[in-house]
Amino acid sequence: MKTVRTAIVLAAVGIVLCLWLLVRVSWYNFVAFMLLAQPLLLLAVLIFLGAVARDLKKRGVF
Amino acid sequence: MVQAYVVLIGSLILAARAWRWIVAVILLTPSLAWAADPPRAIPKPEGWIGTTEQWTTGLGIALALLNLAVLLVAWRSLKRAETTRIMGTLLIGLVVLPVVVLFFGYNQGMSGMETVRACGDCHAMTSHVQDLRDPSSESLAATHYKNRFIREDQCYTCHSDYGMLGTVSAKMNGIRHVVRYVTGTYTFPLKIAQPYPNLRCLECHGESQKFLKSEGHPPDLRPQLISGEVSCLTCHGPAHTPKEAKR
Repeated sequence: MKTVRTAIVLAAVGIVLCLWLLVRVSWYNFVAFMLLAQPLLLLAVLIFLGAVARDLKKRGVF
Repeated sequence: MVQAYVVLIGSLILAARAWRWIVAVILLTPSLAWAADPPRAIPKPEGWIGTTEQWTTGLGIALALLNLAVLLVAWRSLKRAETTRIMGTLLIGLVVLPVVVLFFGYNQGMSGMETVRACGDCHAMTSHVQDLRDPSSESLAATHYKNRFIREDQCYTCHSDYGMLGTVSAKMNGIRHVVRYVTGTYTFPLKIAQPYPNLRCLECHGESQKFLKSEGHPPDLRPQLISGEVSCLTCHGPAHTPKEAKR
């Protein structure tokens, strides 16, 4: 549960950075988008997938 | 513009009252697209509904807001359910929508970096952009700008090669410029890294009658212009006349 919450927070931060870029483009938010938003969103997906795999393992699916 | 705000507020109320997210996105998109339409001195033609870029921006913002709302729903649902129970919501909020939002972000970011404003964002380029926008300047760049020989993204249009690889190369140069700007590894007066290629000028002017019929461009000179042996700027320069910039 805690890991999924972490994934949600990371994704939310990443999406807020994307939103900042979509509202007004500047070098600052473009760099933030490229170097922060994308790794955060990727990390969120990996954490989520890890949590799902653990959950499935616990239920004996694999 | 008033319409835009009415629809925006209406859709936000709708989004707050119920989970009709798709309806909210549909309503949000045109309002955000209208809001992204900058005011101009020349009125738009009858039936103007904005450009594709403005609609893309509106849709991107609406989907990013939707993504945040889905994440909020997932967060609240986690209190009551296990991960697998809200798998669908999490999958949409953490995987599907972020991919779509990233796509719109790339689109917006890449095109946004081509504007004159983006070039002028770096302090080092301010004097060049001021010269470009100065109606009294006689530099080649200012002449192209004030007469709208190039309609928009004037810096990028002249400083990128044509075609797909030209865009890639220009973006790579842009990254190099950012690195040098951030690390302070540049000196005034700024100089172009490589001689300006005539082919960028000739791409637009090369087949125009004004160029072909001009006595200044006799047929025997053209091979030298194409090879770059003689620079267009020799006669048509200076390209920029920036006032002395300081760090």
